Amino acid sequence: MSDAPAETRPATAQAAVPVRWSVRFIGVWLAILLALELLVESGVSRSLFLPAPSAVAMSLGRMIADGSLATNLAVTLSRILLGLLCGAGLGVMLGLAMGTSKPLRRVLDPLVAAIHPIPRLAFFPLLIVVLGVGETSKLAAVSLGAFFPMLLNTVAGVRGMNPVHLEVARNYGADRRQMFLHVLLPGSMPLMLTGLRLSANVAFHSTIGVEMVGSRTGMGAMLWLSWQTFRIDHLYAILVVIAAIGIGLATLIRWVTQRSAPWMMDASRTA
Amino acid sequence: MVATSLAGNAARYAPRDRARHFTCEGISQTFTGERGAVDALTDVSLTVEVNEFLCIVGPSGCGKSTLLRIIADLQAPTTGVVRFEGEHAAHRGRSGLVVQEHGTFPWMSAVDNVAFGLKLQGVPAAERRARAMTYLERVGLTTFAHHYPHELSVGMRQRLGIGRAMVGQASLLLMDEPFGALDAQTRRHMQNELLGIWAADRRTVVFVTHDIDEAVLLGDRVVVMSGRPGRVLADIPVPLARPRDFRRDAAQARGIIEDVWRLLEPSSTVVP
Ligand SMILES: Nc1ncnc2c1ncn2[C@@H]1O[C@H](COP(=O)(O)OP(=O)(O)OP(=O)(O)O)[C@@H](O)[C@H]1O
Ligand SMILES: [Mg+2]
Repeated sequence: MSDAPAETRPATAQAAVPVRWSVRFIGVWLAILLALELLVESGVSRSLFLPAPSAVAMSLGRMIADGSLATNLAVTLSRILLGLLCGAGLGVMLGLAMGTSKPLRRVLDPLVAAIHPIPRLAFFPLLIVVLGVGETSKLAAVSLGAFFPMLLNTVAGVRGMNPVHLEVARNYGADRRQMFLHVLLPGSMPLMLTGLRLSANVAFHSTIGVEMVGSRTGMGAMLWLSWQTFRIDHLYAILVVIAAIGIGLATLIRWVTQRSAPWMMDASRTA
Repeated sequence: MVATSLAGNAARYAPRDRARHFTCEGISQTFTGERGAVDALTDVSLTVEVNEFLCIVGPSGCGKSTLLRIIADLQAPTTGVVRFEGEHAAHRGRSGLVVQEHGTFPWMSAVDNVAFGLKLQGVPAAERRARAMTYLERVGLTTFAHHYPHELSVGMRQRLGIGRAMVGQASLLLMDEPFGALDAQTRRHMQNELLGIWAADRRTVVFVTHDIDEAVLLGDRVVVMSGRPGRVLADIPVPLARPRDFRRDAAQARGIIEDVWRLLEPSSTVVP
């Protein structure tokens, strides 16, 4: 996924295909699961890599019953959300500063340009060296991932403001504070929300990645463990939960978007 | 289209004082970009009096919008100055500006757009809402008060921009082709509203239009500009009695309109 500022047209900012709980969505999945179940139960497929959906469901049930799902899910969710909060929070603040200050841009642009293309996970070993193996290095890794998309899109949002809006506001007598609150902030909101969406995605991916390589807790760690112990039904069950996290996160971001930029959502609804 | 009588109370068009509002002195504007330099304006000088209704016409690209931006203090001319007189100097850069396009804020509902200037001035919420609603009614958008601009047509958005400019108490209205996207009937209505506000509130209006009939119908004077680089070809007074009635003053109105047309024709030799 690219962190680069997306299209400025608010109507198309929601580019990802959202899950709709339609009859079609449920129907297609029910059909696939039913077919798989029959395939495995009838003995046609003896593949080790293809457990029966019922076995996966049972595995999921056991995880819920023994409480391991709840504990690890909570850990993963808190890592995603905390990382998103720190990373995107810093990103939006620095982005607004860079967007409005040319000197700052001139100093920081080369840094951003050089660091941003490095895959986020590549920093994880370094972060462990600096911050230790504890929770801090994980939070830092996730935050770092969430930071860049938010930063880049916020800068682009501020820079891409329609100058006419700024001029009109100035002409109506807006002071610096009013200009920021009533014009610059809402004017760059569409791209900031695109940034938030991308940041949330990266935070999610980074968290799972970090948990797989450097954690004993969380959904990523569970996933890794189930491969190491060769519990295939377990592995599938965890993938289902991870998919659910992704859907939940996307729903949360859509809700935030709706609340903070209603004019934008209206545009995309009719589109 | 030759407009006919405009509704309105003759008493509202009382004699006006002749104090200067501002003067443009030798304004030139050159844009230098990567694709070379463009001379947009050369040596434009104008005097605009308090409560005067000045119309500017001229071919597309001759620098009308640029001149308006310079008057609005959004842009510094390459040479020349805009001098605001007396009390008006304090309001420099604070006018009721109607830009040619995309002037309304997409993130605000219609009523919030109109109330924007009032909000900046710290007018209490209830009062500014009430005042904004009054002006939304004047521009015929009452039922769209809570719609966002993207839910309005281009002409409706234009009217919204006009309402936003009118609601404030700015003594100077700068309007860049504000009625460009309106049908004849709505245009007539908006012309009436504008004239009503202009006469009642003693404002100065600088009004850019492509429509020569409209310029003669509305303006105390019509400034005719040449093709790019724009300069003032003629400054034509419109001595028609107000409220204007093109049927009553058919011959005189036609004469003025023909004068403007002749100035704008490319082969024109009639440069006074
Ligand atoms: N920011 C700018 N940079 C470079 N050139 C510009 C800029 N703004 C305007 N121009 C040039 O200045 C000239 C005058 O532009 P302006 O917008 O003032 O014309 P106009 O008379 O308002 O035209 P129209 O009637 O089509 O609106 C044009 O040739 C245009 O290309
Ligand atoms: Mg123009």
